[in-house]
Amino acid sequence: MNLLHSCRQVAELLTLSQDECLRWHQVVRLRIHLTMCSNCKNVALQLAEMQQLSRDLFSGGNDDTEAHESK
Amino acid sequence: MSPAQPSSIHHAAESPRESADEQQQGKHDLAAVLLSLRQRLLRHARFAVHDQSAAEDLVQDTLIVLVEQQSQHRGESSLSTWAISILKHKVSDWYRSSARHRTVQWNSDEDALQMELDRQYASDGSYVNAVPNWQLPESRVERRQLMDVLERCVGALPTQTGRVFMMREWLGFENGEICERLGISSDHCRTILHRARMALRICIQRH
Repeated sequence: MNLLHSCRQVAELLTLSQDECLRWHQVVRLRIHLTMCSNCKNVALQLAEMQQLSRDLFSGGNDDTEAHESK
Repeated sequence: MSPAQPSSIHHAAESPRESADEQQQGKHDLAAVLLSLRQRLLRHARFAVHDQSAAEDLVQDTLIVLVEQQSQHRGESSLSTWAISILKHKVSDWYRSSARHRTVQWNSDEDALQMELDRQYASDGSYVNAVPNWQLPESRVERRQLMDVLERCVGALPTQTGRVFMMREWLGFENGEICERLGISSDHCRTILHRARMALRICIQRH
């Protein structure tokens, strides 16, 4: 159990956090890693953006008559 | 000599015909809308169900509801948003109604994807190549293009990975329910969802 996760482990936690609540020690390690690693920070942003995009897409947001936009 | 008078007579004479035309036009429009909507719904259904005939049945049922209840559609949401939400309920019910949908066949493309994803990491678990910062689209048009890319990427996922991703992100099933419906372990479910999202990330990055 190393204090600093690898990027691979961080990616797993990032996707897991979209489905389940992380345990507090997972959150702490994730945050520590993210403050130090720009690659993982970008992955985190990409995953968040993708989730929003998927939601818009699957709810029919990709549509000419789209009534609203989140931005 | 007043130009207004002949013009207004002309207008009055033509208006009944116009309204008949409009009605005819409306029917054509509805048919055209339903056709394009059907394609769109089928894409959604196929990603989530992966059983061609079941997907077509579910879309058919959705279109019937749509036509029957058309008058109840108040225009707060667009027609396709409304249609997709009806389809979503149909697909959710389909998953919840029967155990026969549990048959999950794992193909070699799932393993191939895992191997591809593994290649992005070095042996110490760090990224081999720097992860770029995405330039998020500002305009609506660009955002829509990005959604098209995402849709193509979802379509390119291995069958079961795509299915689990759709159950989670579209149907909104919790991990536990996906496991139950597909008869897989929750670790397996987590792995698949992780694989799906990382694959989509890489796929979008390529575009």
